[in-house]
Amino acid sequence: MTRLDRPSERFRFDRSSYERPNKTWRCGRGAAWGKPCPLGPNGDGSCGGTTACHPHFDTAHQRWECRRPNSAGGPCSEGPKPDGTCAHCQPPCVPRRTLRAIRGRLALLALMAVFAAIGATLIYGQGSGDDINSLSAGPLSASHARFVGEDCGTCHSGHAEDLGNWLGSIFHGNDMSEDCLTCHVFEGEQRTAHNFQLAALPAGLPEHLSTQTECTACHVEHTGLEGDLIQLSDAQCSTCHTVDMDSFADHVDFDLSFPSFRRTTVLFDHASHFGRHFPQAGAAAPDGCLDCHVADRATASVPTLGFEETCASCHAGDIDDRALTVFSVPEFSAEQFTALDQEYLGELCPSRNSPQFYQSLIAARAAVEEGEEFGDFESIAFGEAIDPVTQWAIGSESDEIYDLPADDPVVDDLLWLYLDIAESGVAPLADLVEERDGGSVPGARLFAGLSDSMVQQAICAWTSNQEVLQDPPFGGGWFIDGLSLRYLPTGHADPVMRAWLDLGVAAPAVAVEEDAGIEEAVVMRDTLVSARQGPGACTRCHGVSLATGEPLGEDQEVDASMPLIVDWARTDQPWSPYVSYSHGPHISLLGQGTACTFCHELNEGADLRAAFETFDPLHPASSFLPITKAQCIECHGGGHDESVVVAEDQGCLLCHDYHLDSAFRHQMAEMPAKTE
Amino acid sequence: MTFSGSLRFALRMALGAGAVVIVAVVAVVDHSQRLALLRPELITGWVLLAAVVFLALLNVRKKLSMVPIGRSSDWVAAHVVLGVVTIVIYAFHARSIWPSGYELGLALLFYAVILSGLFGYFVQRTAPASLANLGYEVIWERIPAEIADMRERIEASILECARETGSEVLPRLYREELAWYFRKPRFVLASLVGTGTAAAWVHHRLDSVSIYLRGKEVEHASFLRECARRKVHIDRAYAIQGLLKCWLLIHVPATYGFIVLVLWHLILVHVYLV
Repeated sequence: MTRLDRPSERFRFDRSSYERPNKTWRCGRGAAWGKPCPLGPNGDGSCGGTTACHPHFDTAHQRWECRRPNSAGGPCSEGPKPDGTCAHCQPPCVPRRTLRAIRGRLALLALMAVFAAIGATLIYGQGSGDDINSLSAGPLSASHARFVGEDCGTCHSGHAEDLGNWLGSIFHGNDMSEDCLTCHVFEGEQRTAHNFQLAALPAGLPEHLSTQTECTACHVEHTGLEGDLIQLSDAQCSTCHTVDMDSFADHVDFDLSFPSFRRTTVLFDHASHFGRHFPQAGAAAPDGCLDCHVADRATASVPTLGFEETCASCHAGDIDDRALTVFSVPEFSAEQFTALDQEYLGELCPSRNSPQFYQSLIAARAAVEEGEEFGDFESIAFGEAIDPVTQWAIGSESDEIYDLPADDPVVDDLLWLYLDIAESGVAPLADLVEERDGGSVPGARLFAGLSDSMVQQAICAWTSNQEVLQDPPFGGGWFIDGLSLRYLPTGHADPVMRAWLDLGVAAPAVAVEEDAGIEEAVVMRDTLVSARQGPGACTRCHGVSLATGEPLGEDQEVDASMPLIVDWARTDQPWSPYVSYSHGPHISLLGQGTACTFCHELNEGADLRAAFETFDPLHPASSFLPITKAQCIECHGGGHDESVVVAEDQGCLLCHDYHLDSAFRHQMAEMPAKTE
Repeated sequence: MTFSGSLRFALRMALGAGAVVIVAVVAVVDHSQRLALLRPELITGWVLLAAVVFLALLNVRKKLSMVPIGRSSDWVAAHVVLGVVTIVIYAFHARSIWPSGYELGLALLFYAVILSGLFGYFVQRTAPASLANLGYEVIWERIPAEIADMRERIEASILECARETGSEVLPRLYREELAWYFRKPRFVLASLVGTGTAAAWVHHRLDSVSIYLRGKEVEHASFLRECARRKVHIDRAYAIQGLLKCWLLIHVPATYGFIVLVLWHLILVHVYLV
């Protein structure tokens, strides 16, 4: 009866061959679930079991010996054939690979597959932009794809045609941000956070502000034609700005003066106009905000219509009601009068031979001979004071000069000026003012429209101790008003009036610099920029500000050394360059002219005039109450007013910009030359 | 616990603590780099590469068994622990389960390596116990010989039965049905799961002819049942040991492909990004 052996018996060392799984081949019969031969395959993969053994020639006995192993039954009874071959033959099998060899083959296959894929990418996929191309990180955004095309080297300096250089670039580094900056340019520092000007930053700020940033830290390319390089997530902002904000309601509170960080350049008190003046103006009063403000062009600020469309209906008369006195005749003593070169003046002024002139001349000479100050001589300017502009121009410390000797420099210069004007007209006068002013305002601007004949006529009359009476010209202009040369503004933004006010506010600083006539310059300035009495009433609305644009310190007052300017032009509020706001969408959504007061509430108690009297342009003042975060929240996050549309967008980039003004470098605009 | 056992336990604890430290350091570095708007992928990438290289050294250690560089079991333990750590580092590095472009191939190979590795670890932890419970030991490479030998003996028994009894019941049963079963391992999946499908199949057939058996035929039928019982054990040993070996057919080739693609990835990153 057949029995099964125990495995320990079946595979005893002398009953079975030793298994070697590390070998590459195994018996083909065993692989086909037959009985494997004990010799197994050869190392080259051929069958090693065609015979039961490889007989051994015993040289001592000179015969062949069977070497069949014990595991296969031991030496056979037949023994080897005479020629030394084994007597037990069988057909060869087809050895199979072991599992380990198969694993090795699969590993090799995997390697080859990866290499083949990489190779295919290099050969066929270069520049294809397909996702499968390992050299392509994906299609470019529309803005870059338009001009970069398939030239990876535009941004990736390591992308070279030559394989050696390509591999070499591994060790050279690839500063992509610098590549970005070959086309893009920003205000301020190019690589600092928010383009901060490091030199302008106060000391003691966190060190990371000076760290060079990488463009790719925020801007992710290769996101396809629909990709938006500019749209960033709030999380990206939060990497540095760690204030925990779930919605706009968590935003820090606005500045207490927001959005009026400085006074306006034109003093217009909305509260007093809406409260008092407009009700009295009748039909001339505007119906609403949009009668003066241009909503169509609204951005961060809403521009206003010009003076003629808004203020002129009520205030045009204020301007041409106040003439400017540029030069006035001083009261001469007899000595001063006789010191005039009357003979030369007689040649220049042929029409001065009036009896009044000769009487004055004779009386003056008689008084001089008798050593009297006036005698019978009576100056036409008797009792008149010199106007502040003339006093500043001739350098007189007093508004009277009759008590000075004729050879006093002030008098002497003035007498020579008379002769020069009589000879040349306006030019000597303009030269004098330019000399005193240091040339900050050209004489041509100051005396534009003044004819030589008019001023020569006035000088000839005044030197013959006579007045000239002219009516102010209709529509404004130069005229002689008795003993004065005056100018009547032609209307709003009159260039001559602007020139004289520019001169007036600049003169004290020039005087301080030259250390001469400071007091006279200040008096002239205060006269010209007087809101109540100043010529043209310009400064009744236009502010006068420190030219430096710097804020005044606490308890600091403007002195003569500080140059001032007149705020002729409108200046927008100095918002942070990283904050952007546009009235446009708000006006479109809320309705033109209907919802301005939603944010802009009148401040009835605001004292705007006080803000303008300090000459500090950065003095915060407004006729509106500050806008608070709560007003924004009504629509942007957490609002409870159901009557308004709730805006879902509360992201940082809704109101904030990361970069300072960005632009493209010039080479971006260079177009390739057209080929013929 | 013996000294060597204590040492081994301490080594395992150190491995676990080291893994926690590595993950913590990588997490902190990744977070701080991200806060600074830098590229933590560069650091996590190099750490990942170092981990992969160390994991691959296990194969070298196997080949250098003569060199005293630690016990193989310790190497395997380190391989497993670092493999799990690698999953975490990869998550920090890739930040995407399903990336695009060629990185998808990189991810798929990584997943293949990791999943096959985890599967292999699971098999290596559970299979030995199953084999021990089998109560029958056989080397996987010897299974063909074992089956062939069994088949030889069965056929000898059937011939002897026919000669002694002149009955065709058992020879016919063997020729028409049981020969298929004893030809090679059968019901592999059922054997792997551990169901009694194979045993039921054989015994059902033997039972169906048992009423026709007489005298010596019953003894030969008993021998067939004994062979069938052993064949069930052999089939189960074949299935379990095959599983122990075959998971490497995915793990090792995928690892080679992954390493090559990682090197390509490294080159591309340093040419185009850094």
